[in-house]
Amino acid sequence: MTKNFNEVLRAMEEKERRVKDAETAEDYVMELSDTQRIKVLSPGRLVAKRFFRNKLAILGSVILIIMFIFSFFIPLLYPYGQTEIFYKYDSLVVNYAQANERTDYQSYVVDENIDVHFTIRNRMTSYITEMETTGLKDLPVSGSDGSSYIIRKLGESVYSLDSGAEIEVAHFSGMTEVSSYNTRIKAFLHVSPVGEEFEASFLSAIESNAESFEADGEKYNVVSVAKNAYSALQLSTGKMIFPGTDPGSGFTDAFLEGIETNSFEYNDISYKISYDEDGYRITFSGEASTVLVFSLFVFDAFESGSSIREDYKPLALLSMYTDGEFELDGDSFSVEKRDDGYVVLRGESPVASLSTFVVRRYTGGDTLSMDFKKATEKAILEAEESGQKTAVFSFPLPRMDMDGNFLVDEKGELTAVDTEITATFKVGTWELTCEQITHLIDIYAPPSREHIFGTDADGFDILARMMYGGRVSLMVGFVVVILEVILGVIMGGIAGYFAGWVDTVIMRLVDVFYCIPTYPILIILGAFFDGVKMGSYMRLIWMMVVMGILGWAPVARLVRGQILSLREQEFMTAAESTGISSRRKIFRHLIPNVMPQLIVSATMGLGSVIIMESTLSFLGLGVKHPLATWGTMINSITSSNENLIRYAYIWIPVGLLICLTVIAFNFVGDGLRDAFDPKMKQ
Amino acid sequence: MIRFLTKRILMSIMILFFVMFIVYVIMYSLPSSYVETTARQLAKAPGAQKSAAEWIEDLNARYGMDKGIFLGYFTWLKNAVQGNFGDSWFWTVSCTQKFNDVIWYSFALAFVAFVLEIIIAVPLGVIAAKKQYSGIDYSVTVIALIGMSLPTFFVATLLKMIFSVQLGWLDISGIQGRYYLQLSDWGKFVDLLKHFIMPALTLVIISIGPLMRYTRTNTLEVLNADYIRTARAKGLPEKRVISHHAFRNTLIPLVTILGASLPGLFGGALITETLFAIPGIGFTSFHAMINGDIPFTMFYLAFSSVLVLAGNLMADILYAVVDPRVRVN
Repeated sequence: MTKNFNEVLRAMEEKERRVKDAETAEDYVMELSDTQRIKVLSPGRLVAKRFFRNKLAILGSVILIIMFIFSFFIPLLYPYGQTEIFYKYDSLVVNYAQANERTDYQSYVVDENIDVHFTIRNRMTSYITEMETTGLKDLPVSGSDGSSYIIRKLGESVYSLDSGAEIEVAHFSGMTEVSSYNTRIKAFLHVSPVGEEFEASFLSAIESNAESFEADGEKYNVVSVAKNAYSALQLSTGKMIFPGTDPGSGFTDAFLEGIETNSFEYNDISYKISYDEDGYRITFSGEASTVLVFSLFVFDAFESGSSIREDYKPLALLSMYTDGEFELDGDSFSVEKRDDGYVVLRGESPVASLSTFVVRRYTGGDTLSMDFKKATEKAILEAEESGQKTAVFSFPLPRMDMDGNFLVDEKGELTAVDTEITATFKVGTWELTCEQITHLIDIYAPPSREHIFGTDADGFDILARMMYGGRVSLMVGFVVVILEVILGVIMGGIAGYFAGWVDTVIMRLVDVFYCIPTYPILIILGAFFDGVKMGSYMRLIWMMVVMGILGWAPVARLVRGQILSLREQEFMTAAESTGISSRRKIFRHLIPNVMPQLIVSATMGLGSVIIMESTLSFLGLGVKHPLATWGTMINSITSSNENLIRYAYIWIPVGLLICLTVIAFNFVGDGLRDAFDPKMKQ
Repeated sequence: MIRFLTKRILMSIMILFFVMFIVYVIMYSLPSSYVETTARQLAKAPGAQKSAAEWIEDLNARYGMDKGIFLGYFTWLKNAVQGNFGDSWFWTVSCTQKFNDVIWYSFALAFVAFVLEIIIAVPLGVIAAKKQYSGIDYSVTVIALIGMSLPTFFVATLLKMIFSVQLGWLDISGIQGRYYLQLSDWGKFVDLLKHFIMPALTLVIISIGPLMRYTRTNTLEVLNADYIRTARAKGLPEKRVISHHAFRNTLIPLVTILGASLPGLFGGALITETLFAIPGIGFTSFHAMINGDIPFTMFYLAFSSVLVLAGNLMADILYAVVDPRVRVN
């Protein structure tokens, strides 16, 4: 009697349910022959059980899990990124200001309408030096264009340049020689006949060294023509030549009148007469107009930071040695001499002080307070008197907090704290230095609460970079190994399955790849990437690809060996008899059986890939800045011997991270091998 | 045997041919900036007669870079077979001469490390196997694994910090001390040895693990063999069992693997030599490689490929020599 298939199934299910009910029942008693008595573990669970019995393997797994959390999850919670630069405010000795005694004269423009010739301007310093050494009050100078000026000393350190002092109005020449006299042979030589009176007047004029004499109602001029020889020129025969306009009739008469006194007045204008070889020069000695004022004095504004109007500077300088009063735009100013120098006042309030001692910010700006300048001057003068090259004084400077902000009190005014300022004399200048809070990149910060491992040479947080470095190392390891396994399984699978000439070709290729030295190729590529200045991410990708291509040979050899032995086994004969395709045979039946060995070799391979990556990075040929890797982090520290000790707390932990990761992979690989194949463990 | 060897040698030559071809293709494909840099330098030199472009052409012609990959490779191969590897661009002497100058430093360093490794690793491996699952066994396993996991540069940096910077006993790098030239011959030798201490130590630390594990595994295999049981059964003292019966058989695979690594002693330690500035073949090639010195790089790669193949061949031969059972087949 045959049951149909459905009935059989139903019966089986019924039986199973009964057994199950019986098992769960309280009074179920197991029999000796019961199959349930022997607990059968699936192969996977068996492997897991063996694996977890191995203490080293457990340790390795724990380290790996921690390392993964450290590299992939903690960065998500950690506040800092791998390329975040940290700054700090630190008290640093800064160049605060510089001070020096002025030695070069500065010019202030009084009259913008007159252009002073550059030759005068250029020689101004030497003219002033000349005047200082000779003690001259006035120095007439003329430029190469013929313009003439007078430099006047107005007072200590103030000189003015006046133009228009002498302008030639006319030239008087063409006088006829009447007679000459030689004092050595005491004889006259008359050109035209003269009388007794003339000779007597001529002689007395020569003796008294007069320039002119009168005889017979005519005026004569005495000129020394040669040594011991004088001649008398008849003035009335001369002609007045005007380079410009003729001032009017009677000018010549007035000139002749005043020739004795070297000056005359005509139409209320006084003229000056001077003699040169060609005759008389008549010059206009009108009001001299000041063009420029030269001074050593600099103006220091009383209110720090306020600028001083340029246009009252020359006026102040001009008036400081006279009554000191001047007006500008309706404001009346006065210059007052006080104990510590001159002060410019607007009405009653002081505006600026004049001094030859300059104190400026190191950047050149005049933003220092008057009190600071006075204090500096006092300290430096004291130091100079005692012949010292450094002066230390203390002055209340605006206070800053550790964040570099100025501190203000309740009224909103800056608070000051006494700061020690050191002035040092260097090459003609006193440099003022003091400690100030400055904003700078926080490099090589020691470990602190914010940065547990401190910061590195770029101001990056080291702990953050350790995490991101771990990410790169683990990622490189996995990508390379996966690439190796894929390539190796495909090549090894094909070789092992098809055998024959395919096998031969692939295995020779494996031999070739075995033989290619990995490190040199990677070093060459690293140098090449450096040469073409490839970006950090691109070279990371290229490095992984190349490492994968260079590393597939051992995997292929392993897979091929396994498949060669597996394909002779019964289950393959069975698979063959079902007539499935070659691809399915390889990838569904053969490869899964190679998996244990593959997993073991891949795990062990991960460690060596990580070592290779970090070595290349250490040599500067792997992953590059700004991407963080463990190798580069160590390299950046160990470039100098001093840092080797000082920053041991950075590079040793990083190195230990590499070691721990690799050791963990090796432990796990070892444990897996023992678990998969207990026969191999001895 | 001779037929087998001939076959292996021919195979090795064929592999070498293809390895060098791949390497040549890589070197050829790199837009080598070195030729251009050299050309530019030459063109800028005082009294230069050619422009940079002409120099590039000239240099390319001189180094066979203008003939296309295949012809260029065969040109290189023809010269290489005749022992003519060209002049190193970076070291400015012929490759073979530079090789002769530096190879013995590499060999000395590798040999010292090799001997130390054997002296330390083999006894430890045997002891670990003898006392399986003991404390010693675990320590050996763990130490071996740690050694395998340490990156060379980390060990080297640690050693430098301890011995050079902190203790000041050894120079941080290089092969000669500061007063080398004033020393006597014996002093010079001692100086040289002192400079080998840290590199050799580094090599030993990072490469001792595999040998230790290999010794242990093989000794365990031998200890489980029937003839050991027989030896014990006939009442031999344990010491004799280990040293006579077990150890000799352990030596079979050991000698094979050690012999196979003998050619590698000439290969130089690329990383270690570079880190300690030992002027061996590794250091020399490292600088040639990062400076785009194609002739010397090709020479070094060819040389190291030959060494790998020679190692494989050596392993085959030694296996036959040491184990008579192989010869029968």
